[in-house]
Amino acid sequence: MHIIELISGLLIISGGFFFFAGTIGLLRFPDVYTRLHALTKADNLGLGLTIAGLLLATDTLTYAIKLMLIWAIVLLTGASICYLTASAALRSKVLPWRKQ
Amino acid sequence: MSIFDTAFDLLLAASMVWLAWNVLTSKDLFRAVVLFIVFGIITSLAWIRLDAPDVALAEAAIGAGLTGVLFLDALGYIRNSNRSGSLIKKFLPGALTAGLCLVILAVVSGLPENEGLAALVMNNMENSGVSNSVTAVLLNFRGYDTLLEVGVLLLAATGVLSLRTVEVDVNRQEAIKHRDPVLSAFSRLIAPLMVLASCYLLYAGTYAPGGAFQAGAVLASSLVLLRISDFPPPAWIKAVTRSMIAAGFLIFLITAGASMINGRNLLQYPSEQAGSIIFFIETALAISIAFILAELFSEWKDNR
Repeated sequence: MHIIELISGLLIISGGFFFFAGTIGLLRFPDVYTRLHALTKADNLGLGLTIAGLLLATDTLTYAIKLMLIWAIVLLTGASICYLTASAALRSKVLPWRKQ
Repeated sequence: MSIFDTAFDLLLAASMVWLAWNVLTSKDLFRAVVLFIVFGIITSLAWIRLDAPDVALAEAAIGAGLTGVLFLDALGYIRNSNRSGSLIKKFLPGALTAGLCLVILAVVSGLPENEGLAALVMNNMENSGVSNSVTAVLLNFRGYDTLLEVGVLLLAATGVLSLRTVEVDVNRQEAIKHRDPVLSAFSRLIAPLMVLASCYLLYAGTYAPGGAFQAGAVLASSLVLLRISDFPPPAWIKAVTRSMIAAGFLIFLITAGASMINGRNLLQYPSEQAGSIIFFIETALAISIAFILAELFSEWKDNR
C-alpha cells in the first residue's frame, strides 16, 4: 500500500506544479491570448494529474467515476470558456502581442 | 492540528483580507468584480475549514457564482468603469472596520462558556424525519425562519420585476448575428447536467450536505446560462416563470398552515410523515428559488 500512496502523492504534487506554472503564466504573459493558453494548460493537465493521484486513493468505484466526471466537465467548460473569451477579445479588436 | 493545517488556515485568512481590501479599493471596476468572485470561492474554502459543507456549497453557488454574474452584467451598463481613490476614502473605512473587528473579538472572547445547541439537535434527530442535521434545523426545527426567508426572496423578486424597464437593446440584433456555435453547443451540453446536479443536491439534502437552497442556486445558474447563450425560450415560459416565483412561498405557507388542521401548531409536522413533507417543501422551494434568482439576472428575451 505504501508504494501506491507514494505514487498518488507524486501525481498530486506534479499537478500542483502545473497549476503553479499556469499562475506564473497568467501573471507574466503579455496579452489575453497567451494568458488563456497558460490557464488552459493548468486546467487540463494540472487537474488531470491531481485527479489521477486522487483516483489511486479512492475506495469505491462510485467515487472514482465521480472524479473522472469532474475532470471531464472541467475540461469541457475550460475549453469552451477559453474559446469564448478569445473570440470576444478578437471582436473587441484586442490585437495579439507581437515581439518588438 | 498539524503545522500544515495552521499554515493553510493562516494563508486562507490573509488572502481573504487581501482580496477584500483589493475589491474595495481597486480603481478598475472589472478587476474588483473578478476579485469579488475569487473572494467568494475563498470564503467557501473557509466554510469547509469550519466544518460547514452546506454553507460552503451555498456560498460557492450564490456568493461566487450568481452574484458575480449579476455584478458583471451590471458592469456592462456602466460607461466609466474606473473610480477615483483618495486616501481618506481608503483608509478611514479600513481603520473603522479594523476597530470594529477588535471590539467584536474582545466581546466574543469574554462571553461565558456555552456548549451550544448541538446536543439538543442531535437528541431530536429521529423526530425530524431527515438524517442531515442542517436540513432538520432549517426545515423542521426552525422552519419558521426559512418560511420568512422565502418570503423575503419573493419580495426581492417582486421589487426587481416592478422596477425593471423595458429595454430597447440596439445591440441585440448584432448579438444574434454573432450567435456562437460553441456557446450553443456548450450550453446544450451543460444545462441538462446542471439540472441533474441540482436534482441530486436536492435529494442528497436529506442525508448529506445539500438541500433546497443549494439545488435552487445550481438550477438558477443553468437558467442564467440559457439566457446568456441566447437560447430561444418557449412561448409559455413567461407565465410559468411568474407562477413558479410565487409557488415556493405559497406551497410552504399552505403546508405550514395545513398542519394546524388537526389542532397542532403552525409548522408542526406529524412525526411519521415529516420526511416526505420536508422533501415536498424542499422541491417546491428549490424550483421557486431557481426562478427567483434567475429573474434577478434578466428576463426571458424573445430572440428568434
